[in-house]
This record gives sequence, structure tokens and C-alpha cells, in this order.
Amino acid sequence: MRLELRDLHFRREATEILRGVALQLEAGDIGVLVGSSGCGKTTTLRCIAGLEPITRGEIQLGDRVVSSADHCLSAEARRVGYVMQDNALFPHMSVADNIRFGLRKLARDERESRVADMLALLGLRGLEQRLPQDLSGGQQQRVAIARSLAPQPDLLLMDEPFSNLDARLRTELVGELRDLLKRLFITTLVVTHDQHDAFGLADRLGYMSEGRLEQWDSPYDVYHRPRTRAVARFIGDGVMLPAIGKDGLWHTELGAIEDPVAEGAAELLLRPDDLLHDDHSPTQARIVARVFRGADFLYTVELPSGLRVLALAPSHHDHHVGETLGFRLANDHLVVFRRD
Amino acid sequence: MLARWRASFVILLAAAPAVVVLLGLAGAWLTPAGDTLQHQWRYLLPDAARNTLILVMTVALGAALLGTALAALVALYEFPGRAFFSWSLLLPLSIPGYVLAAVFAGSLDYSSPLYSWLREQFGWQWPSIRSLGGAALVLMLTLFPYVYLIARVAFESAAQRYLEAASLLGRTRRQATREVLLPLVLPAVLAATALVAMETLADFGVVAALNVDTLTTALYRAWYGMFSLVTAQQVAGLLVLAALLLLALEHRARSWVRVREASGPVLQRRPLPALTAALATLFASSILGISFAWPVMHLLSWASAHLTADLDARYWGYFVRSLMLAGLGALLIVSISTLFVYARRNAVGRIARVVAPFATAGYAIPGAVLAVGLFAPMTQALPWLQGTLFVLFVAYITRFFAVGHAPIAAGLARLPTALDESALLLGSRPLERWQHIHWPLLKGSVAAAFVLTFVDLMKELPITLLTRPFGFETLAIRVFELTSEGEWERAAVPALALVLAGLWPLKWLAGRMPHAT
Repeated sequence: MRLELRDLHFRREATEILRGVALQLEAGDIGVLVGSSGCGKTTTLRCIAGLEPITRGEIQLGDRVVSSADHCLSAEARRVGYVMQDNALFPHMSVADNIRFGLRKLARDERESRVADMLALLGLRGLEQRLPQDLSGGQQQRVAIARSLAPQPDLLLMDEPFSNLDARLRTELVGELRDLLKRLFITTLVVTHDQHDAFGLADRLGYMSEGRLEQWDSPYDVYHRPRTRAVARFIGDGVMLPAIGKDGLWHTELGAIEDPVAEGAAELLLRPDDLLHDDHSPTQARIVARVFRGADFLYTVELPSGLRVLALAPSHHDHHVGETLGFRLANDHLVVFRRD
Repeated sequence: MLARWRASFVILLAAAPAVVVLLGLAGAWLTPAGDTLQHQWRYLLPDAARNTLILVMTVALGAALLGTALAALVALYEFPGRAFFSWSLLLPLSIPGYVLAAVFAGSLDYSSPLYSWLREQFGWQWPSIRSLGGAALVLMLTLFPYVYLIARVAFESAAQRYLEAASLLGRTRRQATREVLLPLVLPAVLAATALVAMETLADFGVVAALNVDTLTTALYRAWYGMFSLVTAQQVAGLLVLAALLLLALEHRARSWVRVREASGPVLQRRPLPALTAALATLFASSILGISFAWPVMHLLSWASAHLTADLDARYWGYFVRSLMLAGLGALLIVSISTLFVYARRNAVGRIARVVAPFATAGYAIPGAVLAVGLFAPMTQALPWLQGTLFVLFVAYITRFFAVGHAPIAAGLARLPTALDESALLLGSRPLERWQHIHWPLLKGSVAAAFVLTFVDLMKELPITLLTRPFGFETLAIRVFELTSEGEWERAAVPALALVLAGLWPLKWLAGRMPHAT
């Protein structure tokens, strides 16, 4: 079901935690909110779930306004599934009982077949009678997802769903989860601080900072067209390159870049993939650090001015710290932040 | 840090008295029954066993309901006085059961001024407090704080997110409380209730003061009245069997509690509507009033009337002897517990592992049973022990070892072995590790163990009564003697001294309890 937040505000005591969050998530889409801890991501989910009353704005689910300043549909009536950060599996109930918990209104036969479906869907068959404590982190995660999906909620919320898992399991589960949610056509909003999870899952990606949603776009646009410096810094690697605009050119330490509207002082966002390794390039700089990442090298090079930028090179271009590296600008679009 | 064989030796020594007692009881059941025993079986024991059963079940049920209800009120809801009741509901723990029994008997009995006045003015009548029901009421009012404390901590540490998860799955707050929260805290309540049942089973002071025949008084009579060791031990066997069952239940329940331990934000308290809030305040204050405020006021008024007449040099003696027994006993228990805890960390031998649980099982053996079960074999083997305090201290250690052991074991368990290993890798010697790492981190737990055992020993009655040298009187003995003579009011002075001693650890306990903020 479609979700829309309009000018969402939330205050706890004197602290303004959400300051006007607005977003739209179409039915069946997966939205992801990223941001550093304390930015208001979890609070946003809790407001949508009906666990916190909002102080201003509106939350609309389908064609129903579920929260406003003077009205808050209670959580148990919202039909919203919520996978909490630590799963909150009931520790004294078996896997099957946990999944069954939200299905009380169904007839017995239907309930049991739904439980069986969920167990099959999330690969939990054979674990029905186990207690949560006897499961691995990944299995617990699946049970929590199964429990939230079982009542067929109109909207699924997930708070850091992969935080307790190791890197490999994470990548696996991200892919599986996206397939599953798409197959079931469940509108989902996920909170994470990990941008790799975010890129793997999201149809729409948002960056939150200090209670505001700074951008809400496709993952491609958030990465390549960040609206603010904060978004550019948080999403992906990158360096701000000082530039002076004059006569349709940005003049930088790495050369001039064409741009019809170049004018005044600004900073250009330089992603590692905007700099290509090229031994024959006139631009040479000293390598100060390198990270071997398997498929490629991420070099940090120092320009004569002292500015350090990141450059990506294929895996077999093995240079050492202290050597000079030639590279050229290869950006196909510009991200410009003007300096005031 | 103890050599392996020395560790095993410490464990064997600590477990020995309980093993001796249990073997003795088992042996008694294999001895053919004499005439006295047949007489006992026919006339005395059925009643005593039935009374004990009724008493244990009533008190356990009553304390469980009362303790859980109060704990739920204080932990889950906001009402006037909540913060005050949160700690003050522990105060009844400071009143020994036999003291409350004396106050109730002295003030509510047929001939008491209060009863006479109410009877004449309003024609009110109530059943005598000196009955099975009266004993159950007294025990319930002194023991419910165990359930209250443990259940309250369980409620307060239950994570808010379980209720939230339940509400997202379509439950109202009330349904979520019933379907998720209560099952979640049930094992904690069960463990505490088993503890209450064990205390009731072991009680001697209350039933003796109120003239109720139970297995403990039967034991006392068999020992003192008929001098039949075999009978006494057979009765004791029944008691211990029941207590061990309860101990097993308590252990099992505790393991369930561990499964339920949660992290995350704790429950948020809900305000109660005005009328319900007023009722909650009324309920909590009447329980606190009847179990603590009213008896203390009674004791104070009685004591002030008898202070000048009774408080002579003898009291100084009772007081010093009580302090000496409790202080020395607690010191012994804490030292042995500390050694034991380290021994258990190091000992890997099979015998040590099998025998170790017996050391803490002594807590399940009623004091009267321990006294009888240790005194006979020890004085037979070494007659010169008669008239000394040796058997008394051995029985103290056996019975209260678990009380001192628990905080120290918990304290040591909190010290990760990585701490020892890092210290070892930094080149420290065993004694240095103890002095600079373990002791600073453990001394709080050791102090706790001392305070808890000290207070339990101050008010201990059956062991002291049965194994003391002739004429050796303490405050607890004095209360018991005056009570059995029906001199309720004169018992107030020593009783107050015991209550004051019991208040001391509560302050500490209240400060240490986990708080939900």
C-alpha cells in the first residue's frame, strides 16, 4: 500500500527529533533510509508504526491518514509489520508460535497453512519447535521477518535488519529479501546505516540528518546527483575539489572542465570512478595510501597543493606507496556545490 | 589459583555436612520402626504432614499472588506513592516470622484489648490467630516480599519492545500484558514461590508460637519430648524430600529465567485512571501497614512499656551473644564461600563436580533437621563437642552457605577469564592477580554476602535452639521463650532489636536493585 509522509514532526520533551520529513513510497516499492545514528531514522519508523504520536504533519497509508497531530491510529489497528532492530522475538515461544502470534483472527486451518507457507518461504522448515535462543543470528532474522509478514501487512518496516549478521550472510540475505518482497508485492521501508545494504535493496533511497530527509531519490540519483554536501559525503567515497568558474570552464588543480554555467567559487564532487588511471596522463601525483579490494585498487594520491583525492585502478595495476600515479578526469557529469 | 587437590579438598569439606545429614536421614528410613514410631505414625504424623502440606500450599499461593500483584502495580503503572512503595514493600523482610506471629497473637487474640474492644463495641468476631490459618497469614505477610522483589525486577527488565511487537501484531496493551508479559515473568515468580515454599517448610518459629502442629514441630517434639532419634530423622527425611523437590523446581525455573533475559529499552509505566490509582495506593498501603507499620508500632509501644522493667544486664548478654554468633557465623560462611567459589573454578575432578552441589543444597534442609542430623552423629563420634558451639556453627554454615555463596559466585562469574589471562600474559603472579584484580572487583559481592548471611543468622531460631549449650541465650531465643510463655509484650524488646538488625541490609539491597528509569 502506498505510503506518504507529509511534514512529519516529532518532539520528545524539549528535543525536536523529526523536523519535517516528507516522502512518498509507491505500493510495492522498497524504500531505504540511511543516515548516521541519532539522525531520526528509527523514530521515523516508530511514528509510521504508531508507536510514537507525531507532533505535526501527517502519515498516510493507502487512502487513510493514520497519524496527524491530533489523531493516532493505535499500532495494533494499523496493519503495519515491523522487524525491530534486535528482532524482539518472544523468547519463551517457539518459532512456529512466534509466527502464529499475529494470526489469531484467522480460522485454524488457514492459520496453520499460513504458518507453513511462511516457514517454507523463509527456509525455516524443520525449525518450527525451536526456541529463538537456539537459532543462529540469520535464522532469528528470518523468523522475525516471517512473523511480520505472516499477517500480510499493508506496509513492512525494518530497522537495521542485517546489523547482527556477518558480511557474507548479509549480502546473501539482502538479495533474497529483495526478491521475496518484490514477489509478494509488499511495500517496505528499511532503515540502515550501511550503504551497501541500501544500494542492494532500494527502489527509493533517502538520506536523513538531524531529523530531516535531505534527499529522497533513486539510488542512482542519490549517488550521482547528491543534493547536499552531507549526502555526497555519506553516500559513496569522494572528495570535494575546489574550483573557480570563468568563461564556461571550471578551473581546478586537475585541469579545466567545461560547464556552460561555471561561475564563481565552488566545489566539485570527485568520486573515485571519476578519476581513471592513465600512465600517459600529464597529471601525475604521489600515492600516499592504497587499499587492495580484490577486484580493484583504491589509491589515495596527494596533489601538489596537498589535497588528497581517491582514484580507482584495475586490480593488476599494482603501484606502491611513494610512487607517482598518472590519471585523468573521466567524469561524465558534474556535481557542483557553490561556495557562498 | 588453588592447586587442584586443594580445590577438591575445599569442595569436599564444604559439602560434607549436608552429605552426612542426608546419609543419616536415608539410614533412618532403613532402620526398623520401634513402638514410638508406630505411635507417631498413627497419631501425630498424619496431622502434622497434612498441616504442613496445607500451610506450604496456602502460603506459596498467597505470597505468589500478593507479590506478583504488587510487583505488577509498581513496575507497570504510575500511581500516587509508587516510588515510595517500590522500596518500602521490602520492609516486611526485616521482621522475622516469629516476631510477627507474636505481635499478631498478642494483639489479635481473644483476650487482647483490641479484640475485646471490637467484640464489645461492634460484636466483631474472627477466628483465632493461633491456628493453621493464622500461621499461613503470618508467613504470607513476611515472605511475600521475596516474590515481590524478584517479580518486580522481572517486570522492570522485560523489554518494551516485546509489548510493542505484540501490539504491531494486533494486540491491545491489556492482551499483550496477559499473553506476552505474564508468561515472560512467570518463571521468575515460580522461582521465588519455590523459595517461599522452602522457607515455609523450614519454618519453626511461627508454627511453634501459634501452636500449629507441623513436621518441624513434630521433629522438635520427637527430639526433645521422646528422645527418639530415629523418629526424628524419619520425619526429617520427609521434610528434606519435599524441600529438595522445591529446590529442583527453583533451579529449573531459574534456567527458564535466563532464557528470558532481554536487552533494550525497559517498559514504560502507564498512568492509572484516578479511581484505580487511588485503589492501588490503598491496596499497597494496607499491605505495607499490616505487614510492617502496624507490627512495628505495636512493638514500639509494648517495648516502651516494658523497657525499664526488662532491660537489665541480661539483655546486654543476649545482644552480645547474638552479634557474636551472627558475626562469626557470617565471617566463616563468607570465607568458606570465597574459597569454595575459587575451588570450583579450578577443580576438574569428577568427585568434586558431583559433590559440589551438595554444599548449596543445605539451604533446602530445614534448620531443625540440620540441627538434629548433625548433632547426633557429631556428638556420638566426639562426645567432648557437647556443650560447645562447634555443632551450631557447622549447622549454620551448612544451612546458610547458599546465601553467602550466591553473591560471591555471581560476582566471580562476572569476571571474564580473559581478565586473568591478560593479567597472566602481563607477567603477574597469582597473589598479585588476586590482590589487584579480583579483590577490588569482588569485594562488593563479598560485603553483600556478609550482610545477607549476618542478618539471616541474627534471626535464626531452630538451629540455635537445638544445638546451643545449655542456658546460652540470644535475642532470637529470648523472643521464642517469651512467646511460648504467652508473654507477647515482653518479647517486644528483643524483637525490636532483631527488626532493627534486619533493616540494615534492606537499605543496601534497595540501593543495589536494578532500577527502571
